[in-house]
Amino acid sequence: MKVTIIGVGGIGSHLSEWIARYLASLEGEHTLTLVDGDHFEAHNKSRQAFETPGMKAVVLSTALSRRFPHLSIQPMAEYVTSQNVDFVVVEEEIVLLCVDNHKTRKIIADGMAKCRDVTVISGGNELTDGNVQVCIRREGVDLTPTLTAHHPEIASPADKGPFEMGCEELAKSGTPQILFANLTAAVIMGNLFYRLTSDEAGFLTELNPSLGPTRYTEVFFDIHRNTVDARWFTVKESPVPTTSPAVQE
Amino acid sequence: MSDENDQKYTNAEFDAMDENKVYAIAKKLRVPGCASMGESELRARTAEMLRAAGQLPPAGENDAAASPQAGGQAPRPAAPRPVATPMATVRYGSHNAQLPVVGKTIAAIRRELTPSWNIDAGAAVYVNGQTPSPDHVVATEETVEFIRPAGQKG
Repeated sequence: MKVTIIGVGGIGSHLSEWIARYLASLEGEHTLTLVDGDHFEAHNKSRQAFETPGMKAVVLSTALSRRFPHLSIQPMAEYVTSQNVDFVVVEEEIVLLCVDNHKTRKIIADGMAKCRDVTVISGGNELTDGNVQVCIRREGVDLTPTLTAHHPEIASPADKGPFEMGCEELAKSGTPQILFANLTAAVIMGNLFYRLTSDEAGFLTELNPSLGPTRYTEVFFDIHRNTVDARWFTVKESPVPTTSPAVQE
Repeated sequence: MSDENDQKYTNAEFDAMDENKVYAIAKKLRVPGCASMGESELRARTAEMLRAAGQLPPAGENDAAASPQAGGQAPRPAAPRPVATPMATVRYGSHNAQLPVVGKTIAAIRRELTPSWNIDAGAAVYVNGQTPSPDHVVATEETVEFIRPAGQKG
C-alpha cells in the first residue's frame, strides 16, 4: 500500500503516527510518505505532535522510522505546487490531505484528475467544526464527487498557498485553532482510511440489508455540539451555481 | 410459528402502521439512528431496509401478492392516520433535522435558520440533491441541504 500524508501540522502530525502504527501492524510492504515544506516551531506544541523543531516532514519521518523500523517512511520537505503535484499524487496511492489552505486542495484535485486510480481523503477544520471528504477515482472515473464538485471555495480558492507567501506573511497567516478540532478531523480521516483499505466495495454499497445506508462522501463535525453527520453527495460534476445565494433563491 | 423477522408487508399495510409499530420494526432491523428520527424519516429508512430484505415490495407496486392475507380475502382497511405537521429534512454541516418548513421558500428557511445554525452566506443549496429553481417551495419529505463550506485549516 502506498500512502502519502500531505500536511503534517495540526491534523497530519497526529494522523501520521496513527497511520504508521496501523500500516506497521499489517502484513506486506507498505510505504508512507510525509509531505510538508513547513517547520515545527515551539509555538506549534499546543496542537501538533513533535519532539524537536525542524522541517516537519523530516522530523516526523525520522521519529516514526525509529518507532516502526519495518515500515518504509519517506519525507518530502516541500510544499505541494502545480509543478511538483505529479510526483506527489500518483497512481494507486491513498492521499491523506491535511493542509491548511484551499489553494493546495485545488492543486491536489487537479492532480487527482490526471490519475486513473487514486484515493484522496481530505480533512479541514475551522475553530470548532469542519469536514472530511473522500474522493475515489477508479479506471479514470470518479466514483465519488471530486474535492471541488460541491465546494466552490475549493474550485476557486480565494486564499494563497504557503508556497506563495514570504516568511512574514506565513507567520501572520496562522489563525487560532483548537487541538480537539484537529484531532476530530484526524480521527474521521483515520476511520475512512480503515474502512476503505479493509472493504472499499462494501463502503460504496448503497444499502447493506443489515446495516442500512453505508456509503458516504463527506462527513461534517462540530466539537462544540459534539455531533458528526455523514452524507452522500452525488458524483455529477459541480452543479453548484455560480450566482449568489440571493439570486439563486 | 411465524418469524417476525421474515414478516412480509404490503405497502398499504406499511403505510397504515402506527409509528410505534414502525419503530419496533426499525429496531429489529437495526436501522441506524432510528431512536432519534422523526416519523417521516423513520418510515422512509425502515421501508428502505424492508425492501432491501425483500419484505416490502417497491414503492407504488401493486403488492397484493406479497401480503400474507392474499388469496381472496378482502384487504384489511387502513387505520386512520394521525394528523401530523408536515415536515422536511434540513441539513447544514453536522446539523440534520426534521423541521416544519413545508410551504416555505429556500430563502425563508435560510433566514430562519441562520441565527442558530450560522449558515454561511455563500452556502449553495440542493433540494433532494438537485439545485432548486429560484422560487422553489419546499414540499413534504423533501431534503434541503445547505452545503457547509469545507474547513480551511488543518
